[in-house]
Amino acid sequence: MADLTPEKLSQDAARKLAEPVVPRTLKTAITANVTSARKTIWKFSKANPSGAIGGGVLLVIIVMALFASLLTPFRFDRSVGSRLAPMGSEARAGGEMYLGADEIGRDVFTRTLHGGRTSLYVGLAAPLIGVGIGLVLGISSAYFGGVIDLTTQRVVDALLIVPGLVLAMVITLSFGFSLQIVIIAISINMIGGVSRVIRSHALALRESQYVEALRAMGASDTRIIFKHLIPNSFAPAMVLFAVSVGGAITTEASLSFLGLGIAPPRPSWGSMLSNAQQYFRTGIHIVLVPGIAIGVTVLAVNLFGDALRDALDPRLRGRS
Amino acid sequence: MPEILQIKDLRTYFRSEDTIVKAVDGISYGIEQGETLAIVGESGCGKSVSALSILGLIPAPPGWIESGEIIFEGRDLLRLSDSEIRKVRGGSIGMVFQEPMSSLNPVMSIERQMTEGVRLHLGYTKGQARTRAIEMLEMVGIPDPETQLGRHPHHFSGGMRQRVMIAMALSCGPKLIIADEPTTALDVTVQAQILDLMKQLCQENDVALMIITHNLGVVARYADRINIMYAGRIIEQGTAREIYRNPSHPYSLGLLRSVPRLDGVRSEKLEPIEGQPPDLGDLPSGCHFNPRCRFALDRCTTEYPSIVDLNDSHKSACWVAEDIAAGVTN
Repeated sequence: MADLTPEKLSQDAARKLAEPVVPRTLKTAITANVTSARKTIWKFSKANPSGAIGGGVLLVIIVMALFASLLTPFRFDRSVGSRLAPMGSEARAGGEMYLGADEIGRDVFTRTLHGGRTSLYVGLAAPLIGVGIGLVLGISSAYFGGVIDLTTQRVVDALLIVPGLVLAMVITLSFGFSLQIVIIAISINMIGGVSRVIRSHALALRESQYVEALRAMGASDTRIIFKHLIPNSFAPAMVLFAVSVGGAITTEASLSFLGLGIAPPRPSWGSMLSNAQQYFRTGIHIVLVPGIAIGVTVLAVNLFGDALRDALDPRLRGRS
Repeated sequence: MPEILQIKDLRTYFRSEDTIVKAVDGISYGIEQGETLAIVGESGCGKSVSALSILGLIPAPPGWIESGEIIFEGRDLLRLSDSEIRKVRGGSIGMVFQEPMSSLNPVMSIERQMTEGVRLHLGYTKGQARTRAIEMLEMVGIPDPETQLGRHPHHFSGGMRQRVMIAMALSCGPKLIIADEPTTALDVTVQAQILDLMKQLCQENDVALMIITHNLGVVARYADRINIMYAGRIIEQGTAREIYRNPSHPYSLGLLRSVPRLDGVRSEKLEPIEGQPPDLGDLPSGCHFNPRCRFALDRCTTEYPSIVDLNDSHKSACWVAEDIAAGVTN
């Protein structure tokens, strides 16, 4: 039977620590990590094939956006062909315009790649910030309750009352049209809704006995919130994140359309789509291309997000 | 044996709508080092609240501690700062809860949950804490502890989880374990195992054990002393033997008669205690038990009985305690 005193324990621990450790060279450590990463990815793909496809597509889109300037000979802000040239036509200086040209002759493929940089950045960063802050706010609000809950939720009410686009417009108008400001403006819009949803989820968690057990174990409020409640709210947070990506990309588009978003000529999928609206009849391709790009990205994020949620929830692990 | 915990005139109240609910209304008792004390009473008699008060876990608002002292290791727990009481919780006082199914965080491995306490209170490193966790799981009789550490709570049965909870409560080397209805949610066969285990571990390690229960039958084998609570007050306290042999409060007598006994006459009918436990926000005047009491006198409806000392250890809050103890009123 084990001895309970801390003194005896530390003796035991000291003995254990004194035992020789098998030396692990850097090389074996790296190989081990690579193999285990490969195994993890394989297991994940097998359990969630659709999620793996979503993740793969997302990865391809991100890589293409990152290396945009290497993948195309054209510049995104120069007219290189005739107006609304159809897909596959020749550029003036030579070279194929795979996806045609837009209303002033700029290469659509190039602009889509470069626009992806803006849209993906906004579409992933804004929900990350918005859901992150909303998560902490919602959980703290539910956990502490009372006056803190009341105050937080009234502030959230105020956020929810103002139409999102108007608030975003006011923010960009006051602080400038840079990418960062646009991201902040969009993420602030998400905080309200996210924190409300997470709060209702956390209200149930707060009453669960393991929270009481944690307090009886001497855990501090910060510890309970960050180490226990937030991981337990991961499932709804992931859904909220996936849902918000599409919203963020389109809000950014609306801002650009109103001339209050990221300043032209820097393209984004949203602004490309807005500009293309008048050319529905004459050049449908310049409407379809950014539209499909947004659609595919949002779908990929959703598939990947759902699979990630399942994979990270130990209760669902090893069931499918 | 020295008393490690002394509770003096503890009052814990809750505000509900427009009344004040006196969940715990002036209780005093002590626990000696290494002994097992049972607190027995119906649902809502204040037994859990009194335990939560010790650790300062009363949800506030709506609850608060009106007055009293809780002396533990020479300090009044009610006067400690937030960070000081956190060191006591889980450090020198461990707690085991009623629902093993929900007392563990479902998304976290057993290892992370078991190591949290010792890393927090004893400052162990990850490796030391892991060793400790394996040791503790072995101690509570969980086979193959190394493998179990990587598992999650849903892989465990109720009895296993309660064993894990006991291991966690004991892992920081506490002086006292408070077990709030530790076996209520378990199968009858597992109940005995868990109680045996707790009793044995506490005895071996000289840890005092406080069992809160509504089942007098459960505590008969395990408790050294018993406090019986009714409507927020202790109405009888004594050694287990005294309470079982010579119950001296009509409520204790009723509790004992409503539980079947193996050594009694088979054909004997069980006698329920008539009526309902009182509303704590609207208590009857005089003795709180008088509307349900077979022996009630006129005096019982006007005056709360003073405590009668039947001997050094045996006390009862009843005007006719001596008669009941002697069996006169039977």
